[in-house]
Amino acid sequence: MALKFKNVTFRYEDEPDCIMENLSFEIEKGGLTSFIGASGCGKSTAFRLINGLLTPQEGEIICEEKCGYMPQHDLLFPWKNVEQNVMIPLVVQKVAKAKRKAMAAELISRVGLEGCEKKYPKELSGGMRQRVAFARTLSTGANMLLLDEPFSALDSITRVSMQEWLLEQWRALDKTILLVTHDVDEAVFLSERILVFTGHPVKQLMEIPVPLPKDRTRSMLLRPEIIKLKEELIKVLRQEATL
Amino acid sequence: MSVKTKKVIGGLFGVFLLLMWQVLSMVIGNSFILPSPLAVLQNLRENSGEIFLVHFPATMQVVVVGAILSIVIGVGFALLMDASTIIAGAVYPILTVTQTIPVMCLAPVLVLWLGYTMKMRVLVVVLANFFSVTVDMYDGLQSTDEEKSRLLSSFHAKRWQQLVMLRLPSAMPHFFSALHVVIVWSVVGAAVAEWLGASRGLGTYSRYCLSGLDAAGLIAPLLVLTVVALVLNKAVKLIEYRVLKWRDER
Repeated sequence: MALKFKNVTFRYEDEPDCIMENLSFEIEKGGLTSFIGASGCGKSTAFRLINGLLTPQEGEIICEEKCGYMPQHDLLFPWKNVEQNVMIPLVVQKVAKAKRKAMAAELISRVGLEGCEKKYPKELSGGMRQRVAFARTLSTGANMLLLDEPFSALDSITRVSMQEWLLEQWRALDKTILLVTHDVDEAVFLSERILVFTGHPVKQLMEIPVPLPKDRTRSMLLRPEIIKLKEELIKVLRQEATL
Repeated sequence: MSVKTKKVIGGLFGVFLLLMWQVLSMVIGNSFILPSPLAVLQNLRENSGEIFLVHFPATMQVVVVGAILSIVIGVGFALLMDASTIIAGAVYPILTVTQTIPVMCLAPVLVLWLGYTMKMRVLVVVLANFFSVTVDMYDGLQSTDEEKSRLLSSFHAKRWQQLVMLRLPSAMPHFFSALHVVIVWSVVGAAVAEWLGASRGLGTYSRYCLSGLDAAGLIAPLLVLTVVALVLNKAVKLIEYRVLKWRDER
């Protein structure tokens, strides 16, 4: 087990209502799990709690892995080139220069951007920028990756390629991945397990396992049981939206 | 319109204005009232030894020392205000009030306190400048992207790392716009301070020519000052272009 929420209650200081109340769930090591839900339902808050940027009022969060956060917008530093951006977490951790250069080179080639080391973010396409952001997340040395709607700012064609790319990375990497998304197709295509955030406050998560193998292809999304699963998911989310 | 055409048009218009000046001075026919540009250049050549060897270095000393101090003090205030909201709350309104006092008019008071010294002249330059540096720099630091800051926090960056890695680079475009203002106003401030009184300097020389009703001699050092400001400004632009080459050209 990589992560455990135990009866967690959280409320933002300046707001009257709780975001989550007495919430418990577990995440297994090595899995790819999606958090899905309407906006404002507490998905991103959950990420900040896991990351330690927020502390719950009650309950306990047990996280055995080191977490690396990847934001929705790439948030690359425009004054740093690709290599320097990837090295940011290593510089923060004061890793020696030669070592961090070697680590960055390996990560850049892992995300398929060899030759782009000295390029600035403005010279890269949206998909390339997200891959740099992914490499930067990996350079934190984290075993659990928190991806916060990582592809939502991309155009639909790039998004599809990036989803397939992420699956490849996940199969190759032996990391636990948590993915926040509001896109049903994305959640179904990518995850082994979907956790649906419903209710204000969130009291429990609805768990939906996805019956697809690890090495899945896009055409498998057309299987009848998957289509049914997507329909159900959309139904749940729509109920939430009309509330 | 291409950049090149724009430059050509600007240049041609400049030449046209110079010609108009020349013609106008010939029509007036009185070099006490309006000396021709050629007369100014003539004067500059005749007195070049005095202007460039005695007065120019004196003025440049005030400009350079004043500009550097303005930047150091201005950035220092901005960093303090950025580090603490209490300091910002205390200092910002007072700085704003002091800026409503026209510094150039305050200069005689500085003469009263400091005499006709280099200190006085540098202080005039600093007072004319440091506030705009503080405001620009403070705005720059404050405009740092919160999301990027949170991202750095998620990497467990310390406060000083946030400052060095994120806040200062974010403020660089603001810093350079302040620098452009500082260059121009340092030259203006130095000249004004020298007008008030100094043993040497282009302002002093200009004033000396005024008392002799030598209009060409009055304008000649101003021409030098203008060229100095232009050259310094261009130098800052070149550095800015190199340092900020990461910026979107939008």
